[in-house]
Amino acid sequence: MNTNILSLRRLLLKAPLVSLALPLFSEIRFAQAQPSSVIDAKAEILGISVTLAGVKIIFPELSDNGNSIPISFTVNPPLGRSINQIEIIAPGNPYPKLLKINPGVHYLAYQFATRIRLATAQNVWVIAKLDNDQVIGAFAPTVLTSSSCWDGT
Amino acid sequence: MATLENMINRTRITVSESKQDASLLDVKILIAHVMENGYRLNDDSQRIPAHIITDLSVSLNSAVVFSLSISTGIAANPIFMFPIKKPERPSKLAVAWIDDLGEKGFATKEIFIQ
Repeated sequence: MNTNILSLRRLLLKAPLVSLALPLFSEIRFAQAQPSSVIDAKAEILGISVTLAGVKIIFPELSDNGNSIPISFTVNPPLGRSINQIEIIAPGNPYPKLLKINPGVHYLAYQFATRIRLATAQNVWVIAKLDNDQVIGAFAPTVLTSSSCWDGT
Repeated sequence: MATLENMINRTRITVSESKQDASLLDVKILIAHVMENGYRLNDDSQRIPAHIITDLSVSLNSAVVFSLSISTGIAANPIFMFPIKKPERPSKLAVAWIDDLGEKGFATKEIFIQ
């Protein structure tokens, strides 16, 4: 009888600890659920619905001069999918579609680097159109101190 | 003057082994071109007309690696860098471009496999 009371006491002492631990587990589960919700994130650029996934852009956050900014990117299409077209888009430029790449048979790595011009501080997008008409992409923000459009020199 | 020598000399191709992946080759294409975007003014405050490369294609042994549609947003003296799969036999990489004034350029590079 005495031992039963003691074990009940022990159990009651542990109860608050369990109630503290439960939210912790739910936090972990929530944290694990984050990546899939990020993959499902969508955005719209120039009327194109873009799934924010599969593209990695290397781009400077601050540029002194908009005339020549290096950009490089890698596109990783979902397994079993191929890419029909890749575009670099700068929505703040007079002609937002800077470059279109139509891949051929030997272009398998889907990596590319070039130098672009920007008119103003903006988000630069790289989007890829897949063979199932899905569009994946990413954007990189940059701040300019000098535009490439109104330079009279 | 668009002489043959001028057309070839304006386009330079460099091919090197990729440092990240031994099965790839890094290709760098550099073109000497003003890529005038049409928004700049000269000393007399007159607008400088646009003059840009509009299309470029890269091929390996006559098979297209990719083709580009280019707008005013690409910097002067454009450079394009990309990897290709290392060919199993000696191959020829070719680049051809055309601008909005009808000027053309091309270059080829032999790829030797050791």
